[in-house]
Amino acid sequence: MITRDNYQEFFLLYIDNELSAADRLVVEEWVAANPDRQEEWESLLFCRIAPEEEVVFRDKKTLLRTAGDIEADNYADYLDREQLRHTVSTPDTTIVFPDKNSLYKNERRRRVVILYRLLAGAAAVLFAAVTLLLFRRHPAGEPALVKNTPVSPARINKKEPSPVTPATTAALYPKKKPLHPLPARASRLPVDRRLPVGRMLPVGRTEAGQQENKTSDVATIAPEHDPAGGVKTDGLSQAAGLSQSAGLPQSAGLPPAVQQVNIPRELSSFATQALQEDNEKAIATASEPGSTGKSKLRGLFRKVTRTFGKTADRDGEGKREVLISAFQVAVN
Amino acid sequence: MTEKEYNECVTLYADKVYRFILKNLRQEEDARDVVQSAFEKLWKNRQSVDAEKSKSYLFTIAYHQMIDHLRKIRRITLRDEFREEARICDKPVLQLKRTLEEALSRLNETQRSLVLLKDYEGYSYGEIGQITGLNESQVKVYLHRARIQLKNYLVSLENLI
Repeated sequence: MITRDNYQEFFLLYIDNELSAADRLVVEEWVAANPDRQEEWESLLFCRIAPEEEVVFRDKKTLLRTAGDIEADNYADYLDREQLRHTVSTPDTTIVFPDKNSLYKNERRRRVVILYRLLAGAAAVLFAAVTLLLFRRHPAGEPALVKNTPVSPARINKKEPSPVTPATTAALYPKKKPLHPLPARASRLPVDRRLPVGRMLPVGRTEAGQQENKTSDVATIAPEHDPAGGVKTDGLSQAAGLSQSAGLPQSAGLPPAVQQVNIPRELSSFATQALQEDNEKAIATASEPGSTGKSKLRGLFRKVTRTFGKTADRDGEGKREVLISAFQVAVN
Repeated sequence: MTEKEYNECVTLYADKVYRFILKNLRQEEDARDVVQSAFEKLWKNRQSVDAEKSKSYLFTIAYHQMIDHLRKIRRITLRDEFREEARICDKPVLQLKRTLEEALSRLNETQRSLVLLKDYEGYSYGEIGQITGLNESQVKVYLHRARIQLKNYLVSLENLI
């Protein structure tokens, strides 16, 4: 039943054509009976939109289909397999890159070459520095280094001690003021006790201190006089097979001659090592003015040793590595 | 659906679907794309589509593709109501049809689609619900709201004139 409370819904249903013919007639009669709602009724009727027949879809043929059309699911049935095979491109293997060798890389070989270059350069610098320091240290006419030829035990055993005469001794040992004159108490001692057996002196340095020596790894031992007139070596030298020094003069009329033997410091007794250290200290004190070059040389060697040559297993894989300054370089 | 039935659908419904989409999108090329896509989908699914329901199937496909298209391009601002600042009094309104088109364009896409499906194609509430995915009650409510908005627009315009 249409009333003034629900007439609007009936109007909308009427416009939407959702009412039956009887209900549509009821609505039309109610509008006629209520002219104050006539305007609203007409307004709703204008809201119906009529289709625009002039608007059409152009090219409608594009939408038409035939069963024989090629589609996405049947296009393979229409392909000529043989012709399709001709469309496949094959690579031309005759075309090659002309300079392929320039593309190869070997990272490991380059690293080794760099290492060798570094080592060679360091060795050259070291050699130049050592040479320069040594020739600057010694004036002309003096030997740059006291040559210290190692003496083999066999040679020592075979060679008979040459007789030492005062002339030869004077020629070989010109008298000079000793750098360290022995104290008076020591000079009063018997000759063969002035230097204890086995006391080591630097190479070429006799009891009188007439010569200096720059090496410390060679011990000079004062032999004891044999009652038979020969030179008797101490027990240490005998045990080491070094009974006599080679090439050094000996004389029975002189203070006990000093024999020069090559005894490695490691093989010496503790007493010998202690004496050797005393001598080294005495030499260092005595050669104060001239010790600058030596300390320089030693400092240089220390620096070089710290810089190069340290090989260690730095990692757990056992790879050998060389430490150059702060850089760690693998050897292999 | 056979090939012949499909082609009959093209002849019968292509223009209708095109009008419906064009009224919503107001872009001819976009409307054509949507129609072509809808018929393409109908052709692919022709084995499972009943010929009697082909029209509803076409409108359903076209409607959803149109919604996707609108969401993609965002060319139309969705509005539930007319804007208060909408003043068209200074525009020369010569025909009621143009005024009605203007009012239609101010509806949101759902309301507009419901109006067009109802007025253009005469679908019932239930059919419109099937096409748009709404139930019958929703279609009725939304459609009545759209009608009242269109009427209010026309009434307000007459008052201004």
